[in-house]
Amino acid sequence: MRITIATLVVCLGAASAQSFAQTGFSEVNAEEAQALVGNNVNYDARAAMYIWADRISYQPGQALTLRMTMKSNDDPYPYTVVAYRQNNQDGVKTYLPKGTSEPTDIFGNGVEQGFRAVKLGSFAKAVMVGANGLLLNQALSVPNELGMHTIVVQLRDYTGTRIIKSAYFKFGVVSATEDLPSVISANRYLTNDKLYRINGIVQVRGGATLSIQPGTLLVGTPGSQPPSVLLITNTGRLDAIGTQARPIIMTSSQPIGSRQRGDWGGLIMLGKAIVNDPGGALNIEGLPDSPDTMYGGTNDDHDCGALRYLRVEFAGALLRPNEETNSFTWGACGKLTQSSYLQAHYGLDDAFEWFGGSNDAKYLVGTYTADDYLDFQIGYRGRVQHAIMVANADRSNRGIEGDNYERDFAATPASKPQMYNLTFAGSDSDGFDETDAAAIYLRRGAQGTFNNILAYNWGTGTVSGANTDLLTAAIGNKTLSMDGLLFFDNGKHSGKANTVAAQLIAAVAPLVGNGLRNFHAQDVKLRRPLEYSDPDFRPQPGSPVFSARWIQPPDDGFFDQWATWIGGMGLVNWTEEWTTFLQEEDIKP
Amino acid sequence: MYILSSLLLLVSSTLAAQTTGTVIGSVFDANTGRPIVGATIAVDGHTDTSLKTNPSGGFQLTLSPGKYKLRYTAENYVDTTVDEVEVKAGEVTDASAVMPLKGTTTTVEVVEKVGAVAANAEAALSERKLSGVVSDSMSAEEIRNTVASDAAGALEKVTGVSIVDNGYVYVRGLGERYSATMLNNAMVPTTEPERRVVPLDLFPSSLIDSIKVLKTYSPDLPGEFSGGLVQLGTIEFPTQKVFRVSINYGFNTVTSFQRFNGYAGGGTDFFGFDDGTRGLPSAIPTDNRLFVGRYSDQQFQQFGRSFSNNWEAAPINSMRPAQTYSVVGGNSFWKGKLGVVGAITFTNHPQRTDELQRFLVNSGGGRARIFTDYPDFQSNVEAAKLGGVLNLAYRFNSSHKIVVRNTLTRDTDKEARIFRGLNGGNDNIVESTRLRFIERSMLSTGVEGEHALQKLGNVVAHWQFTYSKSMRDEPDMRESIRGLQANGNYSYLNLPESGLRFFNNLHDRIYEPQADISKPFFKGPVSGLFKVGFRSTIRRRDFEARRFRYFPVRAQTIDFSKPTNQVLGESNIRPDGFVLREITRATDSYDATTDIYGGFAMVDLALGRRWRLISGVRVEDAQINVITLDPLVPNGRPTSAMLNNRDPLPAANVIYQVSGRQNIRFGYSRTVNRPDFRELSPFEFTNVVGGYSTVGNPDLQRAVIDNFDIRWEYFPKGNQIIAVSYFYKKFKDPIEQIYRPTASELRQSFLNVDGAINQGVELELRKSLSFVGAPLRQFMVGTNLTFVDSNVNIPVERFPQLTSRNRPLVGQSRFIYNVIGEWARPSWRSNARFYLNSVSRRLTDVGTFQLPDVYQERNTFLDFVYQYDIKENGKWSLRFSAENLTDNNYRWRQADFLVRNFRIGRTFSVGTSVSIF
Repeated sequence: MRITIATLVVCLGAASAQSFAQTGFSEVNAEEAQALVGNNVNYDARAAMYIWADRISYQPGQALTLRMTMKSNDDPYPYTVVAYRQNNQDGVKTYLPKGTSEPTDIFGNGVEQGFRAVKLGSFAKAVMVGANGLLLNQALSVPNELGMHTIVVQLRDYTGTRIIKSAYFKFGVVSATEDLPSVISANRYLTNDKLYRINGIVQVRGGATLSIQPGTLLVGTPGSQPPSVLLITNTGRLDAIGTQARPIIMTSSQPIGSRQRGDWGGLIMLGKAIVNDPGGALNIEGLPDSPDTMYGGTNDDHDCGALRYLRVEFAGALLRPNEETNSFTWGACGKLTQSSYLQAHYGLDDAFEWFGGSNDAKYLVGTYTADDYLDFQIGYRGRVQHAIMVANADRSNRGIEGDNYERDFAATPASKPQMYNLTFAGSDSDGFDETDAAAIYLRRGAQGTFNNILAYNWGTGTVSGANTDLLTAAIGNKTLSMDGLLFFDNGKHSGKANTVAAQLIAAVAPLVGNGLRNFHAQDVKLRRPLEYSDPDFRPQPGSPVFSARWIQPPDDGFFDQWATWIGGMGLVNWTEEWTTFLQEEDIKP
Repeated sequence: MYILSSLLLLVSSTLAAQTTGTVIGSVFDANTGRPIVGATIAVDGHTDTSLKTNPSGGFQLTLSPGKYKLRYTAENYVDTTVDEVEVKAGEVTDASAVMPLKGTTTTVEVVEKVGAVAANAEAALSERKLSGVVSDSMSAEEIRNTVASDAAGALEKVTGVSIVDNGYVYVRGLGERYSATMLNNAMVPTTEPERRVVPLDLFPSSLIDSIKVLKTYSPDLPGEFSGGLVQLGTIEFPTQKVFRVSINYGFNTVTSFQRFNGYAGGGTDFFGFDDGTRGLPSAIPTDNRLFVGRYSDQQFQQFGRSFSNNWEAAPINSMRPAQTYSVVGGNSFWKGKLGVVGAITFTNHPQRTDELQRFLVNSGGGRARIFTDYPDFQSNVEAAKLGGVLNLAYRFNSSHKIVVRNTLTRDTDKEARIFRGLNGGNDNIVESTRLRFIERSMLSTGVEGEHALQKLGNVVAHWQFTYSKSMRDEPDMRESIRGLQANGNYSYLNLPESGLRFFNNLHDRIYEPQADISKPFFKGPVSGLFKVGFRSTIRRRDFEARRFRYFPVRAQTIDFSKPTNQVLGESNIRPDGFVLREITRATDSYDATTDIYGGFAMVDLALGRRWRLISGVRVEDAQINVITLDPLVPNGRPTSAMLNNRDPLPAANVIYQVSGRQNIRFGYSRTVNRPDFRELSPFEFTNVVGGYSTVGNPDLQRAVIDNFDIRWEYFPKGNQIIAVSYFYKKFKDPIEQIYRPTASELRQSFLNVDGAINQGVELELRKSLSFVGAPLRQFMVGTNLTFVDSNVNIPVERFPQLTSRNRPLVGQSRFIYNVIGEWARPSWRSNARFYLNSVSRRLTDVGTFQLPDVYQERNTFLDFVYQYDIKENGKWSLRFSAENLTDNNYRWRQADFLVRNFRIGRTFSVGTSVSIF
């Protein structure tokens, strides 16, 4: 068969059907498709797929090569495969391979010709668009349309009407690269028609607000000393408000496949909310001491800014030889700070860490970070709801690591966050630089409420900790509570049975004692809970996520009351489109 | 080698038979002790106009054996005669004399008798008796008689002195911040990047001839000290030819022939030189940091594999004893015009120490609990010290002299440190192995001249230029950490210190020109010396470090349970295994300059026989500058800090001579204490040697100290002394260490606190026991006791993390005492001494977060030395010594916990010393 494309003169020739067949998109005709589906018209995809281009930002006219990996996972159903590029500024979609504005399937058939369904096979790192591409035999010439674009590959049902599953790859089209100055002391607006480079410390101070347009890319360069970090001092603000289609991405300047944790520093936000050091404020290390580089104060409402749909990737450079930066660091940020839909991807230290303060956060994603996922200390008292934290086998330590204060276990106000609806997927290994890799690890007088938590595949158990006399005391005082915990296969590596008793250290056992508490050690039954690069954390039918007793969060205006399940995700996949779960080795050339 | 060959030359050239003897001496003003320049010496009535005292008041004569009468004549002074100077072939006779000023005495002529060789100790005491400032000193003989192998050990015996951390001197309770060190009258740069002064264990005692601790300031001294100025002098020119070889072996009860953890190094480690084994591999670029993006994954793999793969200690079942070899030689040529003296010494000294180390934490309300607990903290150090001196003096005539002094010392520590225990920072049982090799060295070259200008009324001009350079090189420090896993085995842990390789290099140089002119003047009963001079201390330091670490990329591709040499083995260094990363910080490279220009004018006035006033002022201009800039980072931003000050520093010392054997001294002086450049820089420095990171304070001011002293001294007879002193020091804006927390750790900073007071009493007694009864005539007892009280006020409202509001100065002990017992029986050719040294508890670390301060408990040491002369004249002797007989239990306490504890064992040594001439 022949495919011609209006905008690009490409001839796939007869090879394409052949190639698709070889790689796993084997065509099925309508009768076959109907037979495969049978009565199961609401079928869902079991397959995993992900796509990626060779870069994350392009200048107009540059060549874009798109690759794809498909794992059918014995998915029996027929799909119509549709691929397009969308300009996220105006929403205009350009369908591949023909470049039309009307939908076509990957064979170029529009609605008139009738979409053709395929059965999925498996292939890895196949070129879809580019030389010898399966979809287009030539790289895509990036159009002169500045801003964020997305390439989408969709699996639709065999009729082509219902979208079952999508893979996304977001990239920027920029006119130029601009280095950010080391100090931003007047309001500044970064727009998505440029690529911004962070080389060394970029600090926002002096009452300035740094605002970032949705869909803007910022890259941190490795090797600078001091390392590249975006530092919002306690006299500055950051408004980084992206959208689901146009997240703001702060990532490594290195090419895809060569990016590593710690390529750059990360995002640090400092405020003047309360910390429990007796001095009332602390210096951030690695920077010259000045009032601007301190965090802590008396204003628990301090506004560090607003973050929404923001990804921080490959962060964690060393600020000093023994101090890696977190992907997201909040030091004494207060109640007016807004944080939702944030992803920390491939960090060298913690994904999210709070040093004191009281800022809340919702919809957090942490992927493949090397240390802990949610870490708090020095009197953090904020609220967190809806989080998905995924470790892979590369390395990781703990899901939650909570301290009151390392130097005074009874410092006040104590670290006492409230956390609901969290999912922790571990890497089934010993901790990497902390030998006890439990899903939840509390020590040094940490307090708080930890409810509706789902944890599986951790190395050494579900709940652990140190200074256990303080845990016992806090449980007795009701300043530490945990309820609605569902866990499975935590510690099979270290021989811990899948029983409630084996999964919790003795000090927290009283939490289970009275029978009203809800600790469940059973298979969590998620869809693809360990499918790295394209996982799916939604529950399977029959998952205990809904049936196990969950705890109603307080109705205080922050916590969503409708989250009537255990774990970070119910039936709605809120990680859709704006996140990335790609393992770097899976997309390495 | 150069020094050794010079010595051999010297020996071969002086093998002539000895038929003459030597007379040496110095001529002093009887009231002030000032040397009298240009005094004429007549032997048995014969006057040789060329025989005059030199600018130091000294002279030297060669005479045939016999008895002589020496007569000294000098303008303004009463003629003085010394009778019965007995000269023996091949021996030295001292014929020193004091001459009273004409206006102050009615005696027409003074006649003194001297015996044979005067004890050096006595000479040192008489120097003190007449000294213008309060000082305590040790002669070469006293230094040799202790068991001390270096200057630090010898100084412990001096009144009011304690030694902290093996090499840093605390005088009157004031630490290194308030002390300074001079070698041959020049300031010495330090080898330690985190210290202000040079550690004194760098100076082998066999190279040191005199140690003097000046406790009060006078305007001709640098004005930056308050506790003590340590003046070291290298070996002096011999009055006759000398060639002595000494060998000593030391056996330590916990090290020698015991199990010891060394590690595989280079072929010349024993001598303290790295043979290149630890050098930065040639594959590593030296002009660029190893930044990601600049090099490919393959290049990084190559870099990572280029280092030696040796991370583990290697046990030795039976460790060798300590050994010391030294050679000293000297002679004079051309009728004494040229003097040459040289020495070489080498020591290799292994020491194993097993410590307990703990760190506490406030678990609430100030209740301490153990946070980090290392019950087995083992250090295995092989110290190699090499030192050499080569000094040359040329005397044109008695009025003009030029001296060149060269000193080189090296001190290398090869250390394997292994510890295991609970690390509270990450709640793991860990096992750490660190391999180090630290080469420290100091080279000092100075030329000085002394000129007596008789035509200008005996003006003495002295000039000196000294270049000193200290170096510290620590190539390829390696550390790896393993953690105890749930299955009971240890496996590699990716902690920040793990897989670390660290290279650093310090150069600290001082260029120091100085000159002074003094002119005596006489007016009736008033005599005086007027002195003006300058000294510029120009100091340049540069420091460079590179840090590398192996980071694991995909842990699942590595088996961490293997031994470290395999975990970090070549096959695991690959793009998806361990990758080498450079983690050098910008502040790991810095240049610092401290320029001090000082000029002074002072007068030393003798008012009649009893009163003496030494007073004057010095003005010091100081400029301190530090710049951190990483030359290997493009577009790096330099950070700099500076401080400029000009201070007038006055001093007045009044001496009232109650009698010829009794003095009362009063002293007042003002001195300063300047911030070190690291203390000034706003940037954070990661400590190289360990401990807290340092962040400076650019607002620091220099501290001003007012010092008051009163001292009564009594010199009964010979080398006996009784002395009592009281001192009071008031500090304005003293610089104190404080601690500030960051999220991950405490770091130290500095602050001018409101004020501090330091006061105390010193007692010193040195007495023969003959007064008890004749049988005890052979015994002599010396003791000194220091009581110090200090108080610092901390503005806790500004630093609420600190626990104490009032506390003693860090490092100050309340009581320090020494007891020295001597026994000598010439007929048995034997002498023996014991030394008892005791230092009471002292604050070592300031407590934070409601935890109390850390105190080191009392240390008591007992040493014993016995010497037997195989040949009567002492030319071949045997020596036996026992060091640390108490096996002192070093212990530190915080709250009710022992936080550090170790013993270093007893050391028994045997040695012999042979003189060829």
